Amino acid sequence: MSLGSIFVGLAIAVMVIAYIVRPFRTASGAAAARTDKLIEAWVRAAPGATPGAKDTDAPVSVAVPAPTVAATPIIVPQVAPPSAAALSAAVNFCPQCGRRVTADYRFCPGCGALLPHEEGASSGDVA
Amino acid sequence: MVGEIGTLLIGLSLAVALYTAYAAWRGIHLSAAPVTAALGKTWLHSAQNATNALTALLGVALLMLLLAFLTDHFEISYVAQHSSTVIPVYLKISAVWAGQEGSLLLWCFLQALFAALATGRASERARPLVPWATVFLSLTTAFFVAVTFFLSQPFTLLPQVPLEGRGLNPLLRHPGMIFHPPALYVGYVGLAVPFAFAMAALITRQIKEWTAAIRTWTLIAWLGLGLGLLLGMRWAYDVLGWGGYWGWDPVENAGLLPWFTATALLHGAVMQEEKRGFHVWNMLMVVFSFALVLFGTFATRSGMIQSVHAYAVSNLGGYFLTAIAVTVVGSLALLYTRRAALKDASATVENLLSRDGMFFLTLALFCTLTLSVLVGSLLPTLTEVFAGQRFEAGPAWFDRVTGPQFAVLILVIGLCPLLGRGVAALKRLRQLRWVVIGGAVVVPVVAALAGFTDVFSLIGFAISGFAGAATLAEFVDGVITRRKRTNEAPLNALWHLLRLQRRKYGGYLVHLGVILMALGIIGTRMYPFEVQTTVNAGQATTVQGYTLIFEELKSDFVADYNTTWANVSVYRGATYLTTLQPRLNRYTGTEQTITVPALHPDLREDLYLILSGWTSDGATATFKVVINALVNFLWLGGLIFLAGGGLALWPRMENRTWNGVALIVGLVLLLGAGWAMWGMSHGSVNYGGGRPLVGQDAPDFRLSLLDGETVSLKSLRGQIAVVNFWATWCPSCVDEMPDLQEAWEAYRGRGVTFLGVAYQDSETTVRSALVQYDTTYPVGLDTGDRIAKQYGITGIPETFIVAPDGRVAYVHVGPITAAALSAQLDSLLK
Repeated sequence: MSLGSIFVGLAIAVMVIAYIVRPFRTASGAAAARTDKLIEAWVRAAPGATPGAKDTDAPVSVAVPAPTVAATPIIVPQVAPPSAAALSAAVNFCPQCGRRVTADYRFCPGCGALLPHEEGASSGDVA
Repeated sequence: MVGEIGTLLIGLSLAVALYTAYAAWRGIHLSAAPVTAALGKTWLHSAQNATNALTALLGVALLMLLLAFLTDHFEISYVAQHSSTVIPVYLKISAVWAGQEGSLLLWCFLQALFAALATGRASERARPLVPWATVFLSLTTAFFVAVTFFLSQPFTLLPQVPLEGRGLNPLLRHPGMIFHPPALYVGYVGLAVPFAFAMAALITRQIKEWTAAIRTWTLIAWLGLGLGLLLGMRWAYDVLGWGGYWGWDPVENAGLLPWFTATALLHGAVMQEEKRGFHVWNMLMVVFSFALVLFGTFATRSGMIQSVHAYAVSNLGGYFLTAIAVTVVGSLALLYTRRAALKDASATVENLLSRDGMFFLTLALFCTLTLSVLVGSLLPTLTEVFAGQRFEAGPAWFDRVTGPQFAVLILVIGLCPLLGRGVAALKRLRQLRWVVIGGAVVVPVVAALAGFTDVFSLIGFAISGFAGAATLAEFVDGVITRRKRTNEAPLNALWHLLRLQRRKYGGYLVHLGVILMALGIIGTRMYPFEVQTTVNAGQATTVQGYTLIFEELKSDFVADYNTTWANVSVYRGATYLTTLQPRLNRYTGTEQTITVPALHPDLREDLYLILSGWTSDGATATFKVVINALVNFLWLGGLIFLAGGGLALWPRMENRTWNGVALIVGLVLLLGAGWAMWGMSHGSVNYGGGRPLVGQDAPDFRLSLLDGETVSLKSLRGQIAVVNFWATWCPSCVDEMPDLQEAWEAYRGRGVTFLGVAYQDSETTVRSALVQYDTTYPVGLDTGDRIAKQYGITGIPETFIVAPDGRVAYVHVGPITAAALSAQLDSLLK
C-alpha cells in the first residue's frame, strides 16, 4: 500500500465521516442550546419565579427561528404563568404510567411522557 | 495507486453501509418515543447522508476501475484479463463488467444509487416507509459490498505487470453485450426497492399504500429486466451462431423468473391501487422477485451451472444461498405475523369473467409459469440428488410445458379489455364480437396461405389475432371517444390519448409487442429448419427455395484475430438477393474461435448461414443453413414492447419542450435499435449481382474503351467474347497479361473478341501497362464499378467467356493461362 493511497484514502474517509456526522452537529447542538436558552428566559420572565431577577432576554419579542426538530414554534404565553411555588405545590399523576408528579414537571421522570398542563399555561412543544 | 484506492473505497463502503443500517434502525426506535423523536430524526438524517456518501464512494470506485481500463493499467489482474491495448475504447468501457469482479462492483454501485434515490426522493406516500426501507436496502448493499470486498476483489494486483492484456472475450464484442448486463442489473437491483418498501410496509402495518408508493421503481426494474432479456436474445442470435435466440439455459431462466414475478406484481399492483385487494399476492410476488434475483445471481456466479454465462467457478455459492434462505424465511415469517392485517385488506374475486377475474388469472398464470421454469431449471439437480439419475430438462421440455401457458396468457391479454368493469362485463365483448372474430380468422388464414399450416400453430395464430384485434380496438375506441369530445383530427386525438393516459396505453402497447413476439416465437419454434451442407467452390445448392452458390474462401488478419470467410451468393429462383459472408474468427489473445453467422432478414423468415468448416485448399466448405420463420416479428414486437414500457414510465410533464425532447430521444433510440437489427449488414454484402453461372445470360454492359469508342456486350452477339476483369495494382492480373495477349493474337479474326475491363484503376496507369505489355485488344475503364457489380466481382482477376448466344460458357476465377484459354476457346469454336 503506497503512501499516496493511504493519504487519499484517509482524506476520503474523513470527508465521508464528516458528512455523515453533520446532522448531529447541526441539529441537537445549536438548536438545543437555543431552546434551552429560551426556556430559561421564559422561566425567568414568569412573575414570582425568580424575584428581582432582571430580564436579560425579552422572551416576548425574541424572534425564534423554528427549531429543526419541532414543527410548532414556541408559543409565548399571553397569560401570566403560575408562580413556581404554586406549581410545585399542586400534585398530579402521570397519565401514562400513573406516577406521582408535581405540576411544575413538564415530562414524567418515570416514563418520559409529556405531561399536560392545565392552568392556561404554554402548550408549546419545546422538545 | 488506482487499485489501492479502489480497494480502500470498497472497504470504506462496507463500513458506511453497515453504519447506514444501524443509523436507520436507531433512528426508527428513537423516533417512536416523543422525548427522543428529535434525536431519532437526526439519526435518520445521518442515515440518509450515509446513503448518499455510499453512492459516491462506490461510484468513485467504479470510476477508478473504468479509468484503469481506459489507461491500460495491466498491473490490475482484472484489467489484464479482460482488456488489451488493441481493442477500441467503447469495448474497453464495456470490459468493466465483462467479468465477475467488475460486474459485482457495478451491482454494488447501482444498489447504492437506487437506495439513495428511492429513499432521498421518496414520494409523500412513501415517506413513512423510508426509514425501514433504508434498513433493508443498506443491508442488501452491505451484503453485496461484503461479497465484493472479501471474495471478489476487482483491484487485486499482479506480481508482474504484463505488457499486453488477454483481450476482451470475443463473444462480448457486440453492442447487445455492452448494454445487456447494465440493463439486467437495473432490473435486478431495482427489484430490491419494492422489496424493501414492502417489508417496511409490513413492519409498520401500513400495507395499503406501498405499491402506489413505489410504482415507478417497479416499472423501471421490470423494464430494465425486459430490455436486458431482449438484448440477450438478440446477442445470442447474432453472435452465438447456433441459429436460435433462447435455449432455456439455466442462466437465461434466472433472468426470466424475476421478470415473470415482476410482471405479476405490476398487474397485482394495479388491482391493489384500485382498492381491489390482492395484498397477499403482491407481497408474495415482491418477496419472490427479490429472492429470484438473488437466486439468479447465485446461478450465474456459483459455478454450479455450465453455461455460456457462467463466470469462472467461484466460491460465492454458499453465501448467496444463505442470503436467499434468510430473505425468504424472514419475509414469510414477517408476512405470517401480519396476516390479520393482510386478510382484512384483501377482497375476494367473485366472478372469473370480470376484470378482477382476468387479473387473478394473469397472476395465477405467471405463478404457474414461474414454477414451471423454476422446476425445469432445478430438475437436473433435484433428480440427481433424489433419484440418482440426472434428468435434463431440454428446450423441448420447456417449450411443451410453457407453450400452452403462454397461449392462455395471450388469450387473457385479448379478453381483458373486452371484459369491462364490474357489471358491464360482457357488453363490450358483444360490441366487438365481429372485430375479434375477424382477427381470430384473418391471421391464421394469412399464415396458412403463406405456408404455415401446422394445426397448433394455427391455433396460436388465431389466439394472437384475437388478442391483437381486441387491443387495437382499445386504441380505436379511445380515439373515437376523445374525438366525440374534442373533435380533433384522429392523429391528434391519438397523440393526446397516449400523452394523458400513459399507463393505460403504455400497457396496451406492451401487450401488442408481446403479441407480435408470440407470432415470432410460434414461427421459429413450430417451424424449425436446419440443414448442414457441404459445397465445392463455384457449386450451387438449393435450400428451401434459396439457391446458394459458394464462390470462394478468403482470409485476413485484423487487430487481434484471424478471420476466414466464405462468399456465398444467394438467389431466390433467378433473382439475386445478396452475398452472405459467414465467417470464423480465431482470436490470438484468448485462443478462442467464434463463428460469426451471416443473415438475410425478410418479413417471412431469416436466412441464417454459418460457416462450419472447410478443407485446407479452400475448395470445399461446410455450411449450416438455418431458416428462422417469422423471427423478425419477435424483434419488432420487442421494440414495441420497449416503446410501451417507456411510455408507461414517462413522468407527467406539462412542459411541451420536454415532452417533445423526450419523444424525439425515445424515437431515436428505437430507430437506432431497429437500424442495428435490420439496417446493418450482419455479414451480408450486396454486390449488385452474383457471379453469373455457366449457362446463365451474361449481363449486358457498355464499356467505354480507351480509344474513345464504346462497345456493348450485346453488339458482340454471334461472336465469342472473352471478358477479363483486371487492374494494374493487382500483381496476378499483370502476370496474366502476356497470356491474354498471346491468346488474342492466336484467336482474333476467328470470331473471338477480347475485352479488358480495368477495375478501380486510372487511365494513365492502364495506358502505360498496355504499352508495357504490348496489349492490343480493346480495354476500357469500369467507371463506378458498374460492370463489376453486375458480374458480382469480389476480387480480380476474373475471366468470363461468353458464347455467341450471349450465355456464359466459362468462368475462371484467378489468373488464367494461355493454354487454358486456348482449350476453352477451341471447344467453343467446334
